[in-house]
Amino acid sequence: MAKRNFFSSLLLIIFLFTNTSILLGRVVDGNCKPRNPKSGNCKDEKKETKNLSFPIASYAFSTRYNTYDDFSLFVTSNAINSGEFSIARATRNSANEKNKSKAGFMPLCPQKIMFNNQAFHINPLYNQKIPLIKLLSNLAVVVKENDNKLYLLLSTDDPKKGELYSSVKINDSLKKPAAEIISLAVAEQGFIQGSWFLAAVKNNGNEKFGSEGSGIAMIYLTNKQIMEKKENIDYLTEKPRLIVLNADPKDKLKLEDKNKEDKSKKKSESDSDDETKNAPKVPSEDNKAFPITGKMNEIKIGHEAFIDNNIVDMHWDRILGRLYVAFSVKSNSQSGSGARAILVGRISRHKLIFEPIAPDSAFTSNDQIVGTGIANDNVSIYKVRTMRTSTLLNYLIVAGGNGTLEAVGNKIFALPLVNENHYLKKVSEMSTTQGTLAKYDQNPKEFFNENEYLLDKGREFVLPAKINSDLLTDKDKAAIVGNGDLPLNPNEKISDLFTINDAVFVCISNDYKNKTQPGIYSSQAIFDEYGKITAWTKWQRVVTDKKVLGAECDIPTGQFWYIAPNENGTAVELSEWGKYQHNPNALLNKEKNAMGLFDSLHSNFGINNDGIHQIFDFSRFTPGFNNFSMLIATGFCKIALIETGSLKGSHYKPTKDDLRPLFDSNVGNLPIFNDHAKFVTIHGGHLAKIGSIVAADIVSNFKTNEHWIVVGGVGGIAILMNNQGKCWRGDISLLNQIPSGSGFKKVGNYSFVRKIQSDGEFLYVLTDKKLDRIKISSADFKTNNLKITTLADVNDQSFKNIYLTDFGISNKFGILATSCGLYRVGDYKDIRYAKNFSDVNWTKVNVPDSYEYILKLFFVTPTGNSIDYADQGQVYVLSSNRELNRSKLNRFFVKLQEEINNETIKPLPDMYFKDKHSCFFEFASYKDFFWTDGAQFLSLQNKDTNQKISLETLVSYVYSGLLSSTVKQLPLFLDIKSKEAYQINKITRNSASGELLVNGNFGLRINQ
Amino acid sequence: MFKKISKIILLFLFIGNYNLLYSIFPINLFKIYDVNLYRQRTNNARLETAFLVEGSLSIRGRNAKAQKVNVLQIWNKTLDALTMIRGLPFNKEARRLSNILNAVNDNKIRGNLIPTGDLHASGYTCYAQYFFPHNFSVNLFLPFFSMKLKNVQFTDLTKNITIEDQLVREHLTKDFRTLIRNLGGPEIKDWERTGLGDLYGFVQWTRNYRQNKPWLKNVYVDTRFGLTVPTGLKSDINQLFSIPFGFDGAWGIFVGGGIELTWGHCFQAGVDLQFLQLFSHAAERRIKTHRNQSELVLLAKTKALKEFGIMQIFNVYLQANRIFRGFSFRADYEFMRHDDDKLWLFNNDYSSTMANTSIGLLGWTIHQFVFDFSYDFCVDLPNSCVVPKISLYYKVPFNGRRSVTAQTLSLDLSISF
Repeated sequence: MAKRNFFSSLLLIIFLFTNTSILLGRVVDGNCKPRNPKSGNCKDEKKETKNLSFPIASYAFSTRYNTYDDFSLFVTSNAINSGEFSIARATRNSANEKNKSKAGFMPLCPQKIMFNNQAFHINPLYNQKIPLIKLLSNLAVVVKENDNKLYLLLSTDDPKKGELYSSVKINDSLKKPAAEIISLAVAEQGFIQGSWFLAAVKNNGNEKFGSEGSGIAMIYLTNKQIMEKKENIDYLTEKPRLIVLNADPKDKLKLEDKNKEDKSKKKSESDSDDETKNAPKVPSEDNKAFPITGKMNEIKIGHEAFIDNNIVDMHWDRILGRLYVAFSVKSNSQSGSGARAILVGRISRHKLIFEPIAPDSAFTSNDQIVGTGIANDNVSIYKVRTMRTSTLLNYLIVAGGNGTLEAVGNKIFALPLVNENHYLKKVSEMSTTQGTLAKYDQNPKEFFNENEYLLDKGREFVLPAKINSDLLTDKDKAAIVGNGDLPLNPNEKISDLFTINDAVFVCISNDYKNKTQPGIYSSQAIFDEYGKITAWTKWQRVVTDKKVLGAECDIPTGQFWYIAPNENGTAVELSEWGKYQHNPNALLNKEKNAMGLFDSLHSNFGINNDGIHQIFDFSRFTPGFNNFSMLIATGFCKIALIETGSLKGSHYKPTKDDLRPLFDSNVGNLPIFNDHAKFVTIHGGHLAKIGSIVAADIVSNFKTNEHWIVVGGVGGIAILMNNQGKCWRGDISLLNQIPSGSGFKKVGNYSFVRKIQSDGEFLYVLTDKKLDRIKISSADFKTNNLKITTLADVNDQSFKNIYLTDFGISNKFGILATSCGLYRVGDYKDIRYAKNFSDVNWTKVNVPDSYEYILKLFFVTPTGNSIDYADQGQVYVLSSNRELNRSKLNRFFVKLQEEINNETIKPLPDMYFKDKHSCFFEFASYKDFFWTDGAQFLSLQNKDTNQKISLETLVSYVYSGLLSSTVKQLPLFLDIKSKEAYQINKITRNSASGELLVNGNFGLRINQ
Repeated sequence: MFKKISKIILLFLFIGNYNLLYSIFPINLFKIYDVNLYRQRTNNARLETAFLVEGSLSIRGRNAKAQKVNVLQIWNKTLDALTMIRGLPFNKEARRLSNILNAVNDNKIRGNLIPTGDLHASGYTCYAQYFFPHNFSVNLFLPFFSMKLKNVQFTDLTKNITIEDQLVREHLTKDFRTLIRNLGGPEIKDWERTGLGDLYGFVQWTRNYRQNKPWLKNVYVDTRFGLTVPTGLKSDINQLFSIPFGFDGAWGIFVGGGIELTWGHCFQAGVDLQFLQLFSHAAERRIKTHRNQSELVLLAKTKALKEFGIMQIFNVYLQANRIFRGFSFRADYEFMRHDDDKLWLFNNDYSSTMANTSIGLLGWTIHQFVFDFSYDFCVDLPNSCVVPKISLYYKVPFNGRRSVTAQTLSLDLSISF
């Protein structure tokens, strides 16, 4: 015991010592100079650095504003010594290139620059802190610290050729120069209405936002024509120009009158150049911000509310054409008071107009997330975004909720929004309900094209919320992103919030402390049969557990870019698919023989035996685990148990250090190992009878709290157990707590096992010919006298000529994928207690527009455990036809009420034509596997005749009715020698580290 | 006697109507289009008859990359059993197997079998040439072949590791011969066939132009136009690698010509070109139903019209004519090239596009040397009305694509009257 404790302590020390770095893909080179403008490489290798030597103040990813064609990250400095790197940019050249990103950050702020059309002007941003940056296409809009101007930077690959333009001083809502700009948003309104920048400003006295004078300023981006001399020839060129307007609609001024007035007036002294001449459509009165105070009817309910602090976030939704402003607010203490923490704004006739996010009557309690109907109550929203789901509906995503900012930092909610773009059949600019909260229980309206045929207009919530019961509360599953709180202390805040397709991502930049676990997390929306979000998946770590300031997924390359501050500055890292020979920590420590996950598996699962046949992740929420998680990798007559996470100090953390020593047993028993054991391989013995092992599960008996590891394959199933038929009881938190003396023993008489699953009482075994239910009992396992009930059998007349491919059991419900379609448990039946095949009453499920052969099922559940899919889960059904070389993907919503009936499993409203359900997406080739986290839609394709293996991603916003011909399906670079690789089996998320794993006959590739 | 021959000819004309894809089978046995068999007139004879016997010493195949392979591998290195069952909507058993194996990918190992077999061939050709005035002659050739394919074997490459491997072994490769029989494919077994080839007749015009130059003494030119009659034994689509003895039921015409220069008294050099075009021919054929199917075993049968590519034969030779009495020696380089064929299906049961992806429809080539050692008894029997001639041919193929190349030895005995 003492020895064990010693080793535990040693392990802890080693871990703490190496805790600051993890396995990583690549670090984008930092601020060295000079750089080669073409390659991006540092010209002087000695000056090369992997870090940006200064802290990052703000950042912007181009994909959030653009298509996926370009990908670049702009960062700004939070230090005054960053020189020309005050603003810097790193770019991915092209998604198709092997070397996907330029080598490093390029400085964008040379000491001298073309400033307001004056060449070689001193750059006012050089060596400055730049607290805010937003992008309009590739134009960077920035704010300098302690400044009240907006700067527009036109950057090129050569920073010396950049151009910088500034606005005039931006006034507060009292027409006095604002003290500070604290938030920015870019409003793109299309070609006709132009682009706007919206800036939240503090008043001249630099008082708290919400005080008298604070507000939101509007800056219009237009062009003006100037004469330029190039090579002694005069050219008339258009240059950008920023015009700060009076945003307050109360200061009504007719455009025509103003233009007349302008002609007779002299130019404003602040607008030193001839702006008015070149912007005839824009009034050029003295600029003024729209006043934002707690007195606004759109904020207060009843009596004046109070904006709590300077944390203001703004987001512009391009589809809805609405601005969302989030802040913390406290309602008045007088009875009948309430408050709203979100404002909905629109731009109309060059003025800002705000609407309440929902009417006063909708807020009567203090659980409605963005507002409260209770006096003297707090509502704190500190980040706001919007998302458009793959079912074509709009949602508001907010961080915060009812309570003080210190109490809601770990909450993310989603709320449906009204979209009247097609409902009103006119420009929704004037609508007062567009973009406000929608009545959550309405069925969305579908809009087809003129012939009422093709779903090309979309789907919309058209009824706004009016009363209390129309709003979701913070207890509704549909509203709670992540199916619960983030792994973050409530008094801390997330550093970034963004959405991609159906997924919400958050970044946590705080260190491990109490509840806080740093990293990037994502949650995926689950939709009901109407396409509405009905639940969210549990927060899942993605890519890294580092402290992350901001991140973005570069969909075409499958890379995650993330900003990770460290003690030397800030590193911008990007994940990559690849093979990682060694743990970087070990390399740093000169331990050249250190073995990470890749090496360990590669050395144990050789290509001669077709590499790694399957990988199964068991998260720390698996029954039988306590602060412990592991992977089971399977191969030919062999399995590996790999610890992926365990308690390190007082926190559960991913296991990233050297996995050595590797323990091995060749007699089918657990080898003797110590506390250090993180990687154990077992082969021989009864495992040799199993052959190719393709199924594995941790099987539990909830009544006795006993657990086993069960594997299955060509030769049947084998259970890890001792002579008494037992494995472990209670929870384990380390691999070595699996009792020694256990060994794999073949039980039953199975062949061609495809999948095994357990539900705490029964073990279900699927072969290509039958589905069996086995009572979980150590006594039965010991004697190999299993109590088996055959639930499906191809020898039965009703399943004649059918082959079974996949299945999923959840509670009393079950679905069975076969070569002849999808089947479910019959009405009013219970698969747990069905006596035989006919008692299950398998009922065919119509899979709209699919192929007959259902190849794979992919379950998305609120808990993250596929066994729970019947409780508001999503099932993706992949059907494939080898001869046609095509695959289709369908989606179903499963909600088990008391009894199974026709309503239990329903297709999502994916459709091309009116009233005709279709598949969600059709792949342009045969697919063997599909995986999604809501953001990425990945598919695997094995080598088939002349077709090489590939892992492909859908590069587009993927939605109902999307024609596959309009979607790019790009292969991700896996670094596989194509001659040797022919089998690619599965995509698995390592639940502890968040890395994606792909296994096949070539071994393993990791996205890290 | 003539009646009997006529009957035999008629019998072969109408016997069966089955074809494999390859109507002009890519093999280099002496066939009717081989100019090496054409004779120059000797001693003003009116009629010349001959009988040629050809036997193979060894037969190898050449694949698309011109590599030497077993004869059963000229189109594909392996027989892909997984793709073999794809695209067969009317074959219940194939549908069943395709359904079972839908999820099994073809990694070019799994479900792949290496076919091997030994081909032996011999040919016998009777021909007659009658000379008319004004340098015209009429020629008739009737070949006769005997072939056998022995030791047909399929070696399964499928591993024994994954579930997919096991499924393929169980359902496809375990008893491959029975499987193919059940699927309606060709019989996988040894075979032996003997029969007539296509009858070939042509009219030839030849002329010698004497030259009074120091070295160049004669220029010989010839042109010919002919017809092929499909008397040959056709391929049997229910037989593995069945070889037609003629053009598999198709009629054809050809034109050709050559020039030969004589230096001194005995040294000759010549070139000859010949072009053969077969007429489109409809028959029940085995066709591809999936792009990646192997050519050797195709399961789908349907009536299809075949449009033939042109056949070209080029010869360049050097000859020492009667260098010692009647002894001559000739070294000939022969290049045969057949252009791509095309299929037109008679119904919509299968895809024409897919059927036309067949490798067997692609062109093929053969390069070979033919060495001819002959002795003409006209020198020894100057006044005889019957003059025999004996020739020995040794054929050495050295290159080619998608073809069967046989090293053969032939004996030709001709008599001029």
